[in-house]
Amino acid sequence: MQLVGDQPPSGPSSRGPFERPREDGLIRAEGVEQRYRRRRVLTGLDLSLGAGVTALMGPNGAGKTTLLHLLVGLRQPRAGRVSVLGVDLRGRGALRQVAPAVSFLPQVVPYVPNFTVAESVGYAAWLKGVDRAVVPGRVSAALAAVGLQDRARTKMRTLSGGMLRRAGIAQAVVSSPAVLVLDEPTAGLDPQQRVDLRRTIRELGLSTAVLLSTHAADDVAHVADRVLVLAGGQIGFDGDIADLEARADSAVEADTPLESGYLAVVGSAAAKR
Amino acid sequence: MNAFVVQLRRGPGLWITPAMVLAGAALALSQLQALTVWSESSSAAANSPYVMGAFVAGGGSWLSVQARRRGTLQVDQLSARGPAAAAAVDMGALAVWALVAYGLVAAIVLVPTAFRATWGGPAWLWLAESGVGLVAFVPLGWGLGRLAPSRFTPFAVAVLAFATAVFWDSSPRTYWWWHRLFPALQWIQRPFDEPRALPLVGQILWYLGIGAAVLAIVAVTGRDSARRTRALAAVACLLVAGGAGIAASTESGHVVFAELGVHREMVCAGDEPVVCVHPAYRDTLPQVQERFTPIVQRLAGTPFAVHRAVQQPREDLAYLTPGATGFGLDWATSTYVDIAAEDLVRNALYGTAACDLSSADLSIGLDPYRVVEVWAFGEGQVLDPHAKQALTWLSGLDGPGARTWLTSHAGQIRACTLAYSDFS
Repeated sequence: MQLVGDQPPSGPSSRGPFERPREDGLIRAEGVEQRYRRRRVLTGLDLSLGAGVTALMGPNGAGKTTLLHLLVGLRQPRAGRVSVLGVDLRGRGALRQVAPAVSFLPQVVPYVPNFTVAESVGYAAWLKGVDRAVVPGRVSAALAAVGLQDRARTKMRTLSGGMLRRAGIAQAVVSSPAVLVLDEPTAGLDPQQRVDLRRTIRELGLSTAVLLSTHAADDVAHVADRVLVLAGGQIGFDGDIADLEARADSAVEADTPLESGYLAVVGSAAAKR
Repeated sequence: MNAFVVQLRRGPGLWITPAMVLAGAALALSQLQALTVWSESSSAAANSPYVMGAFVAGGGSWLSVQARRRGTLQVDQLSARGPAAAAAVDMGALAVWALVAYGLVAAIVLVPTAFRATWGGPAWLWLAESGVGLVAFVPLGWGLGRLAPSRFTPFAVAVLAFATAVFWDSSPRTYWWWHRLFPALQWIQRPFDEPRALPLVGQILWYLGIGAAVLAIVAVTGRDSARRTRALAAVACLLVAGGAGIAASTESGHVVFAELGVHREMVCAGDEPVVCVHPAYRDTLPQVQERFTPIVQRLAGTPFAVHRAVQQPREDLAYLTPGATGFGLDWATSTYVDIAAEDLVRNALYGTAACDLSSADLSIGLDPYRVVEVWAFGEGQVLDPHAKQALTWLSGLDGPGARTWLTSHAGQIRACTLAYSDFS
């Protein structure tokens, strides 16, 4: 899928939105530590993310959202370093430098209720520094990518949860980011909306490095090229779906091999602690 | 459509503008008796932020509270334009609406004045200072909303802004330096007064500095580039320190914004007496002359005779030429022409003597010396039996008799020592 409406010049902010990124190590985390008061959430975590869809799994309170915030620069780690596209996020102005190439969609979709869908996506494009001349074309393409082209003039406050989520993704992809980070994007959606959103994420993954956090094993099974399991403050598992399924333990009660493998990894990490 | 236009259309400014205009115009018009004098109309319009500021502060607070509660703050932090860009656009759009509302209030007051005024022009610098002061409520409200992102914060901030304005305005008019740093105070400038440019310029810089300081803080906390942060912080520091320094260090005293009693070339008419008014009150001159004539006739040929009646700033008697009798004319309406006539009588009878003109002594009724004042004014009523008897006696004298009595009692009248026994 290729966005229409602009002639992409050079630079990370103007890449074709669904052009597969060739870089590996788009995001790197080295020795990252984070804690809340006395509780250590992340302990010397190392990570490197490249192209495709990567799913981040983990139990509640494992620190998934914290890790996502660290990886996009919304928070600074207490120790270690995070770099995006080779830029160390510890430096002043680093966030601004990488911002055009990184988009983040929080679990609760950020929006201004009075904005229309098109205005909301256009505003996101402005924030990301997209050239004014190409914004209308980018907005149309982003809305088409998430199937909201007919809702362009609808006020954000009137959208259903699923549409709001898709509008949020349109905001995130309008700048054609190299890296797209989604925090539990399918949470609260009905089955049909989940199916639609998975398809959208799969299509995005063809051209963008997508990192999504989720609790839903079926989402992972349908969209992820790579799975990370965060447990015990570390990446307890890093591999593809087949590898995770191979960890399945018959002693663990689960509905699918993927869930069984996930629970085995989490249980193993808990036992080590 | 760019982001600024979207904010203009969808932000809170569009919705609060009608309320701002209504409140601002109501306040400005309530402070004026007539729309005829530029300085009075200008300062009344410039006073409108006293109530409009609450709306603007509440709107600014609403913006930052919404950003926090709706999660757009995180998106703003990841902006390629820097962490302060979205805040600047949000605040800028609201500031534009605040200025539109202020402009409409100013037009409501100043356009009729333009058709009626006979002298001078709008006090542009004062109007500008007040407009920028109104805009300063945007970052103030925005900052408070960021600090306390509760759904009740916008309302609380609006109430706080208005309460602060009321407190500041109702505190003694000593105008300490911190009074000058608050963007909403009320002051009606008389045409005898001249705005002082330096404190007004200082205030404009200070208000701009508030906005720059808030953006600089957002840039610092959002870890914007060092170069941009330093530049923004430097501009904010310069504006805040420079503006506040100028506004606070210029001449203090009971009036900060106007130079009182500046001598003006008066407009005069008549022969005996010559009546002179400030050119801004030119249209009232015939009315003033007509009202003064019977008074002047009653006092003619006595030590209190009025040969030249000159309007003066009520606060300052220093600009009268020798032989002139001053009077204050506060507004160009018939009610205030009557008050000017009372003023003329008192100045003719007592001059600058420190007679107690504020009230009668209730134990003995009206002070006797004031009976003469009522007689000279020609329309007064007295209820005290002694005073009534004295007034009847004085009114019964023919012209030469009254002149003789006034001349023989001139010393007591001037010294406010007249007794009822003298009315016989």
